[in-house]
Amino acid sequence: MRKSFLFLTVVLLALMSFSIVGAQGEYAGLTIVVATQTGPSISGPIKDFAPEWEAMTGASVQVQEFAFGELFEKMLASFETGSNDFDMLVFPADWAGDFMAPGYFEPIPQELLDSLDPADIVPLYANRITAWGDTIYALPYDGDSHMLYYRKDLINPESPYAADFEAEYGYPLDEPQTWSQYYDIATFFNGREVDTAGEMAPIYGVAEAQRRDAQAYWVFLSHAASYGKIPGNPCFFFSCDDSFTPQVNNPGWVAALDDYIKSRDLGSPEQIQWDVAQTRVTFPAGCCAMNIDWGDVGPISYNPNASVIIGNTGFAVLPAADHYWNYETGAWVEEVNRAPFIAFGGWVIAVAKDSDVKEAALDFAAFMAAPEMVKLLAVTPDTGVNPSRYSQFEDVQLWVDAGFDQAGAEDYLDAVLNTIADPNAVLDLRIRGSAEYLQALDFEVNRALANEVSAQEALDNVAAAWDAISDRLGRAEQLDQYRNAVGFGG
Amino acid sequence: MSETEIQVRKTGAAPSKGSREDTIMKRVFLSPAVVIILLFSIFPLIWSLGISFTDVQRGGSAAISAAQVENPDYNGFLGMGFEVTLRNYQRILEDSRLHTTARNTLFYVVAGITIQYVIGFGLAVVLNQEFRFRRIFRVLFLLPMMTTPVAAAYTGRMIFDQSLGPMADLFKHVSQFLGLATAIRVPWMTDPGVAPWTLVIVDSWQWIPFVTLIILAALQGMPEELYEAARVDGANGWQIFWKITFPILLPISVTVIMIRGLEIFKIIDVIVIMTGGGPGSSTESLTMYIKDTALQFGNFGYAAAISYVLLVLVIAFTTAILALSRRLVPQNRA
Repeated sequence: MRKSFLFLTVVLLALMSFSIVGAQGEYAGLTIVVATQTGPSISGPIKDFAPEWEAMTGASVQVQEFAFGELFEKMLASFETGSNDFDMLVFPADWAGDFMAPGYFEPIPQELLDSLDPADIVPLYANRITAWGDTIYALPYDGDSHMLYYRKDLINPESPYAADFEAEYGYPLDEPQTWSQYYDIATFFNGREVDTAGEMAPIYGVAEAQRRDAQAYWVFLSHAASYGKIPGNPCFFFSCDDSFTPQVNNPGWVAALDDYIKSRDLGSPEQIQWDVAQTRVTFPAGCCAMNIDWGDVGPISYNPNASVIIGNTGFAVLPAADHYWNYETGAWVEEVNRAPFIAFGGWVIAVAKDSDVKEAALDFAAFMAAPEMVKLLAVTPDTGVNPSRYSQFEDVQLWVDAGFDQAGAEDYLDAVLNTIADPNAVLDLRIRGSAEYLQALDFEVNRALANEVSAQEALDNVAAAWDAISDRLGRAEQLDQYRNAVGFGG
Repeated sequence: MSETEIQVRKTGAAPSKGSREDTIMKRVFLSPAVVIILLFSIFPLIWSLGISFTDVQRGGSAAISAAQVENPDYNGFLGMGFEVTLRNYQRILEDSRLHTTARNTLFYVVAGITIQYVIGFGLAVVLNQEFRFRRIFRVLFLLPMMTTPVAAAYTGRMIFDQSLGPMADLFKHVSQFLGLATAIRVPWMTDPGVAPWTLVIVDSWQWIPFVTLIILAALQGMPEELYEAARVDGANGWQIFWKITFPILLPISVTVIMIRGLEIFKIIDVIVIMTGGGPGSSTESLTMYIKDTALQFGNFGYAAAISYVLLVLVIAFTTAILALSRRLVPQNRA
């Protein structure tokens, strides 16, 4: 009895001393409510590192997670109803037009920005995705672009399958340079028994996210970019003529959707219900030959707890189209067109203007966006944070220390850099209403995948929906925003 | 017992009306409930009806944007930033996505009620019998109802995973047993024809216990004398069920069907978790479409109009069930 009492006293004293220590922090007693997507990606690191910041400041962090399909509406509802539910928001840079334009965020103080070593951030991921007009409303956290992953042990000129492939397709088996090569390789390996970690088993050709109300439409856009982008001009992908007519249903986009439908049949039968969470499990498990995804798969493919293809992953820029649609001339141009897609742009962190704990929230945002933090998160699997700083690309040792081999790290960083540095890269739709435009696209693309409508019908429906949105939001304003977002002079 | 009470019980007469003070007190005590119902039920209903006749939309009205080209000062009906219009109801007639979701919802209601009622009724009859461990079985059968729909949906998603789920494993073993060269693979959530059935199965798995619980309670309240009399008259088990048990359970069955029907009309959580409304629009329900229209697309006017379509469907369903029950129940009682 006496021992129990003593034990309880010690525990209570320890708890009290902790609370006293905590209460001494700069923001003691304050609670910051953070809204972001369900983990492990993105919300995971916030939950993991919040205790460290809490111990330093005495404040507490409450993370509210929402499925990606609901994230936009939850955040917007909080702003529009004035319910002031969230203090700090971690959200896709594309939604800036809906959140930053109406002034829902607190502008980021210059001294805070300066503390994050802004010169080290790749310009694409700095002001371009964190500002609206001349005001910076968010902190850069993540650098995002789509790239190609493939099983290097299978897809190389010395592969045991190289001779069979060459005999069938008439060219050597190697990293696919074009979408047609991508589909040749996918067709060749789909259903084929191959050696995966010492076990012979059939694999699928591709793993591509295709689930509705998730993040799959970005994968379709990665297909469409090289078919629909006119080289040498920052515009002419989503639209750019003076009437802001959508290009989404031109023959280039339709060809891309036909490809994306082809991918459905070259992957797992479940693929139409897969988001990136599933493809990120499947590809490192060695179950498919190729995968399109953000940079997250790099660290995951070197995670011994998730990957059986460690050291056997090839990293590449997205394949090019064999030809592209020039909507100005209304004709196909028979030239290979590589146009990587800067899908999403990256997750950014902002603080609500109406927050009662703005200072504390800004402090926590700066803590999560600090250079050392994002460097650590980028090399850690399943954080959802990808490289966005020059120092991350220059310091190969950082990646080797995290488990990459030297060649793999160099290959991975090359692929990411070549993607974001490509002058023909396509930037995402960062205008007011972007979530609405993309949700309309998502629905119709999924209908085409389910064979409810043809590719052309689906994209015609998207064009009609986009026209209606543009009419409502004002075509001239939308056009201006799009031109500014892609750096088009007019 | 007071003399007045004895008098009331003997004559069956209603108690005399109270004094004026009593009437006032009754109204005072009732008024909070009335105010709450008016505030949280009737007023929002009328408000949303009003919104359904406007083009209230996130980002502003398209009609006003168009009119402002001619007249920059124009700001809609009474300068309130929206137009009063019948366009939402006109669009209802043309919106093929709405028609698909309405069809899907009716499928969920009809298939769900049929499966849940038939199996739930059967289970109740079985659980009403005397057998060992009956109490344990009763508790076990009720467990799914105690989980949240989200948990049930995630369980369903795992069970019906086409490659890795236990159902896939079961079919693999069945295929091996039958000597088939390739395993039978059911596209539970990936085929537009199969996915709606998968959702019905998961919803039924969760709510059959509800039907069972209500029917079982009714069965246990039935007088044993009726059965004894029937047996004395030489009725067999089947006759007893059809002539006595089923007719007596009809009123409670109508109630159960109505409650489940109303719930299934609002189905959304299981769909969002399991299929996200896909593949395509094959599993999207009306509630899900309303949610997307309002919250994703910010078209509150049209979302309100669709909500009234749902209300009309629910009223039609309830009226049909009540009409059917009025026809069936008295005949069987007679």
